[in-house]
Amino acid sequence: MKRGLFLKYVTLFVGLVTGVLLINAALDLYFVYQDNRRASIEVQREKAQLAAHQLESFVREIENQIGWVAHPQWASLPVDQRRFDYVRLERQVPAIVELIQLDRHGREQLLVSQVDMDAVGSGADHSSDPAFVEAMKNKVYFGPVYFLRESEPHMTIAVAHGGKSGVTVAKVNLKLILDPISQIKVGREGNAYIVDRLGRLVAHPDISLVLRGTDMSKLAQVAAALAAKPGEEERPVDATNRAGLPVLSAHATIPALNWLVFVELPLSEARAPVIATGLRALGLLILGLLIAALAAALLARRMVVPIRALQAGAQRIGGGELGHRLDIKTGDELEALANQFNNSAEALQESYATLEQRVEDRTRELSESLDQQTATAEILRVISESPTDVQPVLDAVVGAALRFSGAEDAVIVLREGDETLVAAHDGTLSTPLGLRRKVGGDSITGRVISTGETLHIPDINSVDRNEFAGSIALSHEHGWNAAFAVPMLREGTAVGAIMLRKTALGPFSPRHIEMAETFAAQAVIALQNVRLFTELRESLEQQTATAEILRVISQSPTDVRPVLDVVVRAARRFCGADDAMIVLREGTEQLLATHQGSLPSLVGNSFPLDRSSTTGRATLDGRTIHVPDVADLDPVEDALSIELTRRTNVRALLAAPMLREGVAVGCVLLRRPTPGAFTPRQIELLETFAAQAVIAIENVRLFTELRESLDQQTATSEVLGVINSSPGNVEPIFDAILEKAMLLCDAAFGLFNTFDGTRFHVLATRGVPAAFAEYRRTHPTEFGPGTSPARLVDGAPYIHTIDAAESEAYKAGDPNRRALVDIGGARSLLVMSLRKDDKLLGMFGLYRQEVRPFTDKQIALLQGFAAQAVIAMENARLLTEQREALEQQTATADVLRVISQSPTDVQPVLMAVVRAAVRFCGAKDALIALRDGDHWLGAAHEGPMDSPLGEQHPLTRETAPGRAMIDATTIHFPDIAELDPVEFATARQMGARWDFRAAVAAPMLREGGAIGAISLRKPDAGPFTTRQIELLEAFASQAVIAIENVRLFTELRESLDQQTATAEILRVISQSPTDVNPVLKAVARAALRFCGAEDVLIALRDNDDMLIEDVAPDGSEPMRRPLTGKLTIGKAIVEGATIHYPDLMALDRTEFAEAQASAEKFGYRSAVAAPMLREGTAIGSILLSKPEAGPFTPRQIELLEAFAAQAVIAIENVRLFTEIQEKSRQLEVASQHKSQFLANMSHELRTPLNAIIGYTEMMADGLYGNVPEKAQGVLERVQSNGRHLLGLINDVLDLSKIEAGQLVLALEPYSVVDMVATVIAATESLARTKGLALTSTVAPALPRGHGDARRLSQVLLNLVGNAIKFTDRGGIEIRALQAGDRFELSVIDSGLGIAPADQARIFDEFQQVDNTSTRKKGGTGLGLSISRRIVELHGGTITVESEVGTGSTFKVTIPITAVPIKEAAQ
Amino acid sequence: MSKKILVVEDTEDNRQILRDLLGMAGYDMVEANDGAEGVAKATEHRPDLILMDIQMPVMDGYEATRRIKADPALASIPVIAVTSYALSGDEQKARDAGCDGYIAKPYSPRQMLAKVREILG
Repeated sequence: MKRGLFLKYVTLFVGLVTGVLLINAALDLYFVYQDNRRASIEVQREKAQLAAHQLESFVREIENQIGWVAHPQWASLPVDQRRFDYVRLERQVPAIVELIQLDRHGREQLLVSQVDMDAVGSGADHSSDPAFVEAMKNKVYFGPVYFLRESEPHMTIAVAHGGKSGVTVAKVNLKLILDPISQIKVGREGNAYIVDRLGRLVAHPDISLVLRGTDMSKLAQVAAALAAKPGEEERPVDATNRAGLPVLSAHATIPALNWLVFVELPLSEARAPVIATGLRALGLLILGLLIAALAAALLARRMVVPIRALQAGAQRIGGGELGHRLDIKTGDELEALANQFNNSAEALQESYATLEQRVEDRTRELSESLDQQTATAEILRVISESPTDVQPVLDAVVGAALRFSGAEDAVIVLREGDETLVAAHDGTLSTPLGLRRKVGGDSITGRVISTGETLHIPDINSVDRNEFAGSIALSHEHGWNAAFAVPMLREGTAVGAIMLRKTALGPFSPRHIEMAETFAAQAVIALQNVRLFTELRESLEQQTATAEILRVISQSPTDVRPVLDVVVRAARRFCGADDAMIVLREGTEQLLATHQGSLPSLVGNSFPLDRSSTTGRATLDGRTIHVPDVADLDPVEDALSIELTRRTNVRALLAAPMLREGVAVGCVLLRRPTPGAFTPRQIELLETFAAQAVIAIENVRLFTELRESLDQQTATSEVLGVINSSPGNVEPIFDAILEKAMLLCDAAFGLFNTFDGTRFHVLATRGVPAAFAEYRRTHPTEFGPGTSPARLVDGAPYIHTIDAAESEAYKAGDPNRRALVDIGGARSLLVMSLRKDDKLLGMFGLYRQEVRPFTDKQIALLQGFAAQAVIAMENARLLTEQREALEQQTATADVLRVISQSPTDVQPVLMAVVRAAVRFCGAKDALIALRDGDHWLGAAHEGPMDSPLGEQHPLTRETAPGRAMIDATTIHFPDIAELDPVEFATARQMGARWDFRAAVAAPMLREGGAIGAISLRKPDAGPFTTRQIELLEAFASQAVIAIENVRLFTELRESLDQQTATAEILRVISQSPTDVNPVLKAVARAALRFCGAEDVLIALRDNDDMLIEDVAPDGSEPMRRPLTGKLTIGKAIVEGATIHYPDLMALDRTEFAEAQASAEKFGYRSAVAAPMLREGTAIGSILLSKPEAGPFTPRQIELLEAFAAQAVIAIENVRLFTEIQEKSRQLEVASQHKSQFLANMSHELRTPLNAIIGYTEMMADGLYGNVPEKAQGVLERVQSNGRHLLGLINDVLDLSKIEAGQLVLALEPYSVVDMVATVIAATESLARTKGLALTSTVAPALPRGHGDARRLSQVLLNLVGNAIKFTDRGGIEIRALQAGDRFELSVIDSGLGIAPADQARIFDEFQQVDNTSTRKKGGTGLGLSISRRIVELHGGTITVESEVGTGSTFKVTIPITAVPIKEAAQ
Repeated sequence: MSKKILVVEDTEDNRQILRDLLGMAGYDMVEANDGAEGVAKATEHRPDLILMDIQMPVMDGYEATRRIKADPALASIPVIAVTSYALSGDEQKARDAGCDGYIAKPYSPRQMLAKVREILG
C-alpha cells in the first residue's frame, strides 16, 4: 500500500508538473508564433500599403496633371498652345512619355511623344480605343500595364475633357514607380509584388516573371484577395509562394487601379524565433520535472499516513466495530472523508442501537397490548359463555395471566370458607390441582387471601423460613424460585388469588403484577357472575323442588313413602350432600325409613331412640344437629353415631328434626364421606325439607286415621247390628227399656240421663209429670250434694232412696231434690248408674210417687236393664263418634283440598275452615282472627253473628281469641256470663253485643307463636266437647298450613319475580357494557316493583358531588348536587350504610331540615336509601320513597341492597369495559403514533443512508478518482452494511404495515410455476456462489392460484434465501404440489437445521436461531415473521420441520383461492 | 448546450451527491433548498428536469410539484419525486401531486443517472 500509493502520488505529481510545463511551453510557443506571425504580417501589410499608396499617389498625380489640360475650353485652344501644354506636361511629369489629344469623335488631334514623332491633326481614329471609350464614359481610364523594350512597364491613362470635348490619352512609364516597389525587402527572403485585377503579375523582383505575364491568381492568397469585396477584412489563408513554400503574406489594394500589392515572407523565416523560444521552454521543462519529482516525493509521504489511518479505521468499522472513530486531522478532504466514515459509523451504530431496540420495544409493546386486549376480550367472552361454570373462566384467566406475566406457571387458588382450593392451573410446573389448605397459613396464596394484598417474592430462598414454610416446601417440590400472588378481591375481601411462578430468580415487573391484578378483577367478576347465576339457578331449582314435594304430597295423601323419597332426593340435591336419609320415630326406636345416595345405608333397620346417635338427638331434642367431622364426636356420649358412621364410612353429618307440634316424628339426615361444614343455607334448606316431610307424614296420618276410623266404624256397625237392628237411633231402645222397667218395677215415671263428665243431660223420659219435665228443661244441670246424681258421680253403682222427702238432700233444701219431690211427686226412687269401665256414662232412674221401697229382685232387674242400656249407649256413642269422625275427616279433607287448590290465596282456605268449624264443632258461628302486631283483625267468618271482617281489635287477654293468641293455647269459655267482669270485660261486652254465651278459641301456631286464632261461638251457654275443641285445633293447624303454604307460594313467586328481575338486570348489564344508564333504569324499575315504593332516585358519587340520575324513560340530564349527608340519598353515600326513615316528618326538625324539605318538595314521607358499595366505599345510592309514612319491610330493604349491589356490578362492568375501550383507543392512537413514527423514522434513516450509499457507490465507481483497491473493499462493506440497514428498515416497515392492518393483499390470478421460476432466477446466482444445488419439483398441471403473487413470491424468496444462507453443503429444493384445495410449497435444505425449541420461535419477530452463528449469516430476523403474516393473511399456514445437522423443510400451505383475512387488530 | 436539471433537496449531502453525479455526467445543475425556492428556480431557469425531494422545510415536494404543474409555462417539465417515504401510497401521493416519476431514497447513483438519462435522452 505504502509503496503503491507513494509511487502513484509521485507519478501523479510529476505528471502534473510535466503537464503544466508542457502546456505552458506549448501555449507560450503558440502565442509567440502567433504574435510573430501577426507582427510579420502587420509589417508586410504596412509595407504593402505603403507601396500601394505610393503607386496610387503616383497615378492620381498623373491624372491630376492631365486634368490640368483636360477642360472643355482647352480643346479649342490653338494647337501650339495645346502642344506647348503637352510638352510642358511631359516635362513636369517625366513618367509621361506620350500624350495624345482625341476629339470628341476619337480622332487624333495632337500627338506629343518623346519616343515618336509629334503629330498634329493626324485624325487617326481612336474612337474604338478602350482608352477613349472608357474615358468618355468614366471621365478617367487606367489602362493595363504593357511593356515596351521588354522591360519598361507602361500604362495608358486617359482623362476626358469637360463638356465632352475630347480625351487626353497619356502613355505613362511605370518603371520608376514599379521598380522601387518590386525591390521592397522583407526579412531575408521576403519580397513584394503587384498583381492587376486579373491576377497577372504587374511588378515582381524577378522581372522575367512580369514580362511573361505570369498569372498569380493561382496562389491562394492572391485568389482570396481578388475575390474579396472592397473593405472586407483580410482572411487568413494558407499562403504559399510560387515555389509552393508556405509564406506569410499581406497585401494592400490600390483602389484606383484595382491592383494588389503583396508582401510575402517565407514561413520558415518567420518561425525562427519561435523555435528558439521552444528550445528555451524545453530547458525549463526539464528543470521543472526535477523539482516536481522532489516535491511529489515529499507530499506523497505526507498523504499516505492519513490514508492508512483511514483505511485501518474503515476496516474496523466495516468489520462491525461500529464504535470505532477515525482520527485524521489533515484539515482537508481526507479529514472530511474520515468524518464521513465516522458519521456513517455513528449513524449505523445509532441505528443498530436504537432502531432495533425501539422497533423491538414498540413491536413487543404493541403485540403485548393487542394480546392483552385479545386476552381480556377472550376472558369476557368466556365469562359471557360460561354463566354457570367458573372453571372455563378460571382456565382462561390463568392462561392469560401466564402469557402476560413473564412467568412459567400460573395458578388460581380460591377461598372456600376457611380453606383455600387450588382451582386452576396453567404452565410447566407441577401443581396439586384440587389441593385444599387453611387460609392464612404458611403459603403465599394463603397469606394473600387472608390479607387481601399482593405479595411479591423475587426469591423464595430469602423469605422467612418459618413464615413461609409451606411455600418453601412447595417451591422445592415444584421447582420454582420466584413468585407473586395477587388477591381476587370482592368487596374488599379476597375470594381467591392468582399466583405466578417462575424458575428464574428475580423480581417480576410492576407491569406484570398490574396485569395479573386486572386478570384477578376479571376472575372475580366471573366468580360473581357464576355465583349470581348459580344462586338464581339453585333458588329456582329449590323452588321447583319444593313445588315438586308439595305436588307429591297432594298426590300421595295416603302413602308417605313417595313424599319421603322426594324429600331425600331434594335434600341430597340441594344441600350439598351425596347422601340423604329419613329416620322415623317409632316409639322408643328409630327406623331408617328411606335413603338415597352413594354411602352404605341400613335402611329398614331400627336403632334405639336415645341421645347416643345424631338422629336420635335431633329427634329427641327437636333441633338440628350438625357434625362437620365425626372425628370430633364424643366416644362415650355419641357411641351409636360413631359406630354407625364407622360402618358406613361417613365423615360429616347433618340431621334436621321433622317437628310436629313441637315434637319430632323423625329427622332428615345428610351424610358426607368427607369432613366439612354444611353452609347455613344448606342447613336452612334441610330444615324446610324436614318441615315438608312432616306435612306429608301428618297428611298421611290424617288420611290413615280417617281410613282406620271408617274400618272401625264398619266393624262396630256389624256388632251393633247384632245387638240392635237400629243402632243409629238409641232413644227407642231407652224408651223400650224405660217402659219395660217401669212396668216390672211398678214405677210412676223414669228418666235416662247421659253424663258428659260434669253434667247430666236428659236422654229419654217416660211418664214424667209435665211440671217436673218443664222444671228439668229449664234447670238441666243443677244437682246438689247428697242427691243421687252426685252420689253416682262419686262412684255409687246405684242409689235406692226409700223416701226422697225424708232424704238429707231434701231436708238440706236441694232445689233439684225439692223439685223432684214437690213438683214431680217422687217418694221412692231407684237410680242406676250407667257405667262402662268405671266411667260414668249416665244414669237411669225409676220413681214411685208413694213410699214403697224397690225389692232386691227389682234392683237386680234394673241392673240388667242398666247393663243393656250401657251397651246401647256405648254403641250409639261409637256410632256417633264414627259418623262425626267421618264428617270431620271429610271436612279436613275438604280443607286440604281447598288448600291444595288455593296455593296463592289464603282466603278460600280460611273460609273453608270456618265453614267446617261451624259444621263440625257444634257452634253457630266461627271467626278466624289474624294477628297484626298489637292488633288482630277478622279474616274469615261464618255464621249469623255480626263480625265485620277487616275490623281491627286491640290484642288483649280479655277475649278468647286475644288470649289464645297471646298465650298460644286454646281458650274455652263455656259461659261468658260467668266470666270475671273485670278480667274478661271485653269478652262479656262482645258476647252481649253479638249475642253469644259460649266461646272457644284455638290459636293458629307457627313456630311456637300464634299467628291468629279460630274462635267458635254459640248463643247458649255450655261447654264445647273435648272432641270439638280438638277438631278446632286441627282446623287451626290446617289454617296455619294453608297460610304457610300461601306464604311459601307467595315467597316462591316473589322470589321468582325477584330472580327474574335480577336476571333482567343481569341481562341489561350484559347488554349495556358501555352505558350504565339502562342498568340503572332496570334497577330502578325492579326496585319500584319489588320494594313497595312509589318513587326511586339513583345518585352516583362524583368526587365531592353527587349526580342524581334521572331514571325516567325520557332521560334528561342528571342533576349535580353537592354530596351532603343532610339529604337521605347523600347520607347513604357518606355513611356507606343503608338509611331508613319510616317517617321523615317525625324526625328532629333541626337536624333533618334539609331532608324534610326535600321530602316535602318531592312529596314523600318515608324513605330508604341503600348505598352502592364497591370495596367498602359507596359510589352511589338508591333512594326509595313513599308518600305515606310507614316502614319498609326488612325484606324490601334487603332487596334494595341487593339491587344496589347489582348496580355496582353494572357500574363496575361499565368501568371495566370503558377501561378496555379506553385501552383500545390508546392502542389505536399508539398504533397511529407508531405508523407516524415509522414513517418519520424511515425518512430520518433513509436520508443519511442515501448519503452513505450514494457517496460510497460514487466513490466505488471512481467518480471521485481512483480508490485504492483495499479501500474499495471497505467501500463495498459500507455499501453492504448500508443495504443491510435498508433491508432492516424495509422489513420493519413491512412488518409494522402488516401489524397496523395496512397490508392489503392485491389478489390476482398467478401461476405457481412462474412464481417458482422467478424465485429460482433471483436466487440461483447466490446458490451458485456458495456451490449449492438449487432445484425445483413442481407437480404437473397445477391450477392457477388466486392470491397476492408479489407477496407470495416474497415469502418463497425469503425461504429460499434463508435456506441458501444457512446451508453450506448440499442443496436446496423447492417443491410445489396441490393438496385438496390448497397449494403446498416446500423449501427443503440440507443446512444447519433448527433445534426443536427454536422451531416455534423463528416465526416471531427478531428471532433467529442461535444468534452467534446466524449473526455471520446476516438478516434482520423479520423475514420469517413477515412471511408468516403474509401466509396467514392468505388464510394459510407456514410450518417448519427440522433436525439439527440434517436440514430443514419449511412448508407453506395456502388456499388455491385465497380469501383475504382481516387482521384481528382491525 | 448541456441540459439543465433543477435539484430541489434540503440535505446538503444529497445535493452534493447529485452535484457530483450530474456535473460529471455533463449536466448543468441548479439547486434549491426547499419547495418554495424550487418553484422560484424553476420559473427562473426553466430546467429540463426537476428532481424533487418530498420532505422539506418551508414547502414540501408535493406542494412544490403541484405549483409547478399548475403553471402552464412549467407544466411540461418532467418532475421526479425523490423521496425517503417508502410507505405504500407515497408513490401514489407523488403521482397525484403531478410527479412524472418516483425514485425512493436511498437510491443508487447509477440508477439515478440511468433514470435521468432515460428522461433527458
